[in-house]
Amino acid sequence: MSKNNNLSIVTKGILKENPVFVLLLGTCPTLAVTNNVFGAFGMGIAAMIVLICSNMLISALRKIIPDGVRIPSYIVIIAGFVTIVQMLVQAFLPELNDLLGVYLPLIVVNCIILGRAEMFAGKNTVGKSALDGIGMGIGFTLALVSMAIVREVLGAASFAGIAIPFLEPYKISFLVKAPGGLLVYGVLIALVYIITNGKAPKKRSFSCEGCPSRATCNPSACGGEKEEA
Amino acid sequence: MEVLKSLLVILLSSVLVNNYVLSRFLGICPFLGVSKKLDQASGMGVAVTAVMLIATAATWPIQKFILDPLGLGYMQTIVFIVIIASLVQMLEILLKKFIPALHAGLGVYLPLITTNCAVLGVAVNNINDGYNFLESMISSLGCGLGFLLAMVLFAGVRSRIDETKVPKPFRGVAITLIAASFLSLAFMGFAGIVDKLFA
Amino acid sequence: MMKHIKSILTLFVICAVVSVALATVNGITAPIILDRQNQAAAGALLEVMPDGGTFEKVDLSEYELPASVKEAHKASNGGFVIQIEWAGFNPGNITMVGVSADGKVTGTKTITVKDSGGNGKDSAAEIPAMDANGYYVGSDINTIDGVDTIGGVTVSTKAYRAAVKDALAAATILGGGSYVSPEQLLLNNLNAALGTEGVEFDKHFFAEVLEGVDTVYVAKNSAGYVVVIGENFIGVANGAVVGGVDGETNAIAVSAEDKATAETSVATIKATTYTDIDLTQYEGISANITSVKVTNGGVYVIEIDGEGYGINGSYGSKEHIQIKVSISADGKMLSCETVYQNETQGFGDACSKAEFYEQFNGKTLSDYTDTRTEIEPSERKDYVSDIDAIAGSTVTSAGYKLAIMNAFNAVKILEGGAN
Repeated sequence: MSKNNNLSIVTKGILKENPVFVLLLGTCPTLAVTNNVFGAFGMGIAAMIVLICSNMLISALRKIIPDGVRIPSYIVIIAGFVTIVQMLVQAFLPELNDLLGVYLPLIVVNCIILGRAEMFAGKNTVGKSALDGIGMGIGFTLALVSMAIVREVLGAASFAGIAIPFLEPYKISFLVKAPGGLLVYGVLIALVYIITNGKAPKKRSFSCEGCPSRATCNPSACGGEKEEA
Repeated sequence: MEVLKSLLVILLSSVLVNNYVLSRFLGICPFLGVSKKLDQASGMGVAVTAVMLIATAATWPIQKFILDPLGLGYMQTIVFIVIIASLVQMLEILLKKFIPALHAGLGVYLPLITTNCAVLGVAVNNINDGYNFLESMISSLGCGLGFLLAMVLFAGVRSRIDETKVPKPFRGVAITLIAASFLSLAFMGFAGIVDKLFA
Repeated sequence: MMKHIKSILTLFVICAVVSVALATVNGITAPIILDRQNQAAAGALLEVMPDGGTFEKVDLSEYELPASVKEAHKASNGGFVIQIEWAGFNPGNITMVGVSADGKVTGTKTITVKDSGGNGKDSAAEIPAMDANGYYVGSDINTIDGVDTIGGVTVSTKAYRAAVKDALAAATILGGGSYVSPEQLLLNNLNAALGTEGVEFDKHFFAEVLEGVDTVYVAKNSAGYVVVIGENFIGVANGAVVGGVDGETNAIAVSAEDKATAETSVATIKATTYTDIDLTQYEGISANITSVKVTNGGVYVIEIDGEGYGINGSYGSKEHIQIKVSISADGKMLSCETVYQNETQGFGDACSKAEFYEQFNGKTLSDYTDTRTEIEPSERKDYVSDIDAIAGSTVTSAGYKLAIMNAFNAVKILEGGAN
């Protein structure tokens, strides 16, 4: 295992396989908590911790867990970590808990985490899985924060809750509301396409990649087409 | 009468005002993924509504009669997700065995629902909002119907997008999201209507 | 078979291990979370009562308090912080209310807002803003009902106001006092005057001239009448005075003069008969007047359709209001009553309260500067300038005045005067 290879596991999560802008995973929290930079950052870190821990544990147990109960086991492990993170946040960061609300326990069903467990951790060593978790976590956090910056600065004229007075008269408050989230996400994806000159995102449609139930799922039901890549 | 009114308010606000997909962003993945064709969209919507109702019927009593009395509130997330996952699994097996026709129609969507955050979201929100059992069921019904409504509307929108010439960078996902944004904008117009109706 | 057992066993072990891990973490975090919540609560206590000093939790089981009161802390300065749980648009809103030793609101802090949405405004934002601006600060139990609700979130603010009133009542009771609502006090006075218990009363609609009398109440079980003269309540049963109390339910000796007034009044009320008047005989009487009766004492009892927010074409589609008035032959208004109204809650329906329409009582036409019986909608604001129109209900206020001007006009015609 070369050093270069390890590094690429981390970096691919940040850029080449960015979970939000390239793999198009974890859209629910991406849209829901990005009206505030602080909340977005907190969600990113919380998800990253769960991702790293669950990746490592699942990888460690990959030879012990029988194939038949793979998905249930993953779900229990992930839910366990999510609950631990939730309790810690409640105890030590109550402001973040208020901001994230129901989306904090919903990390359980964040496709990124189950998806990485199924696609990576179940097949790779503990070390690699941890690196994958770090990379994906950073990529997820960066994507959330960048979206939150656009939405909060332009929509609420503030940054992480700190008001930016000179922008106040120009704020577009619909950006922090639900439709603004969808709009900004769509525009950012188009922007990533333009910046990367059409190389990313490769996917032109939402599909089942990363969906943990993909194995049992009839592709036509997911509306997924054959990916272009 | 008062009870009926409050139930109606819960139902209408969860269908229109607090639409799970369009204003709370729960269940976005299937909303964007499975809304390409009308029959798929409505199939998914019906399946989600059914699972939401079953999940609430199972999780509410467990929270109130097992977790709360034993002081195990912190086990909520893990217990709920396990229950929902096994319920969905069971539902699929039962459908396959006893009503194969329905399974052919809805069964394919069921595995996707296991990790649908809307279902877990409904179960958790019903507890957080302090609803009683009947209110929880009505709220789940409303959320499911709201999801179905959003799916069906959006399937219509998407079939029009497919026929339109879209600038290259926006093709595919980007334009889908922007179209969803406009649908969400339209639903924002419902805010306040329910309050006004029963004021 | 072995495979299945192994699978189930593995899953079971994973579940068990995760559960143990969760219980351990919960053991560490639960006390911290509880402590934090307590601290936040104490912070909220000081927030609603900055000079409260130290607080001590009150055992509520010994008191009979409004159901909305969930918790109370006694402050070292003699005040109370009351925690109320109330339902506006949604149930489960929780507010802390500070009440000073002299019964005034020192601050409010809503720690949980379940209400959301509203007509153009969002309760979830408006209610905390009300707290921050000290919306109810300084109100006491008698003045709180006079505090405006906030348009756009009327449902929430009305419920909120009622909840704060509950807190004020609770603070009075906890402070060792007793709180009797104005409605209850009135009922107690009426029963004490008549020597009855638990009887309900109707306000008598004056269809006769009773000199020196403020109000008359009629017992619903026909036990008798209570005549209010000034502050005093005088009970009359079977035509004779049976007792009297002051406004605080204390028995008083009824003066001979009041005795005579009360007895005469009741006799007059009992002797009143009504005769229908055929309006087709007269010209110039507004078509809105639906019925006129005249009493043997020469007082006219007139029922009128008023124009509320609805009947005028340019305003919505609510139905009209119906008002009943009595006017003496010499043109003095004796009584006014809303028979029916279906005005917008929180706006026009405010006019159906006695406080509003009773301002017309005792006045004659010459008390008004603008006596037109027909006006354009655009002129309503000027038209209501000589009554205490209710802000936010100008249209309905004007509807009442217009109806009353029509009644005055009708009496003038019936008495043979020129239109």
